[in-house]
Amino acid sequence: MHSAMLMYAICTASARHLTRLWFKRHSSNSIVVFKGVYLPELNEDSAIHYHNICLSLLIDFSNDPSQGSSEDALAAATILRFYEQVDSE
Amino acid sequence: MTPLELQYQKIIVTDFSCTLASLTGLDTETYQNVVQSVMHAQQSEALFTLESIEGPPDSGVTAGLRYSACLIALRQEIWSVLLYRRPFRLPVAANLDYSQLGPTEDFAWVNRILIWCADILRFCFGPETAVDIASTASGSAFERWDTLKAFEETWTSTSPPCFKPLYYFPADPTSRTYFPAIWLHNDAQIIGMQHLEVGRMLLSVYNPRRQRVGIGSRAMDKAIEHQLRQSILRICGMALPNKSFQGGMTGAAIGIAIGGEYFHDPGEQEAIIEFLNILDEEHAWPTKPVVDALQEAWRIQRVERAASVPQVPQGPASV
Repeated sequence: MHSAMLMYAICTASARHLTRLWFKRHSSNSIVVFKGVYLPELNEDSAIHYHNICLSLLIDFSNDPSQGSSEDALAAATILRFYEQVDSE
Repeated sequence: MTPLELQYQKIIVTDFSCTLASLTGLDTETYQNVVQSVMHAQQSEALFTLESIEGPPDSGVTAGLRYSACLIALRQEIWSVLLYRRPFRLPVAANLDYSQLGPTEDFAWVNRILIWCADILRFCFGPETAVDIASTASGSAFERWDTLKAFEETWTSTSPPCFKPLYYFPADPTSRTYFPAIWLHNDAQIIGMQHLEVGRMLLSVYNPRRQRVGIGSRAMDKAIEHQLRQSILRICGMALPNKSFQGGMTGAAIGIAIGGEYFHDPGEQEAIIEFLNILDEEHAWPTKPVVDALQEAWRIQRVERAASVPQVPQGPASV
């Protein structure tokens, strides 16, 4: 994996987007299905979990920028901004 | 630590509490602040110019990623400034000259329109950086507005042929079709044309020559409101034919957030709410704050209109 920071940013945004879309139309006990794939571990808290990991990776990067790239951090920040927009009510 | 590292640490750690608040549903623009700080820490001059927007300076994966992330950040900043009406904070070059733009492909035109829209937002809601203030202090508001307006007028009279819609059908309120049908060629063109309409709306509202007092000012206000309504209907009309494209639908929602309260016709109001419901259904986008705010604004307008209607006196008619 090239960039854990980028991956977790993508997971944060997609977890929030998927769960919002799914639980709008289905009961809160159901398992999320995306393109025929069952995602039994995905629930409303998953996005928060990924977000915490991504945030700690961003902080690690700010302490030691040699362990990542600023392009990845910039891309991760824009992805997390999308998550921020979707998550607001 | 380099200045960039310090910026990261300061912004991310001090904004951690804001991030927790964002989990409860408030948009604190935390990550917008992170992006802004990264850009300002890395650049002492303007980052977004009509030249730099043409493409990444060199080939390679990281250059492409940086370029794409910057474009997304520009659109997100435009989105935020329109919603929250605060100063534009990304480093866009001052005194951009739109008169020398040559022909190019439609994707590059869309990026130019985004810069133009950002330029208008900076004109309307203020600059943030010292570079911007120093550059614009000597120019007058009239000249800057004329330059921005000239780009829009040139586009209206001679837009590139590739932007001609595939299909167009005007709105027909008598058959409860309130939005025109505008089919554009690709998602980028939808983004571009929506931002062009937003730019038109802002230029008419923030026209420094607008007559604000005196006889005739009310007529001018009514004309501006009509322009806002027409732009919003067109923005929605571009998004609906391709409602699976989230960028177009959320772009239209921004247009509605800017001027939705100027719709008085109940049919149009219902169509707008229906549009926002479609956005919520298709993309799980949070539309409740806008829907609630619009319903309340329209309710207050109905009450005011009812109160201003003269009451017919009861009792025997006087001769």
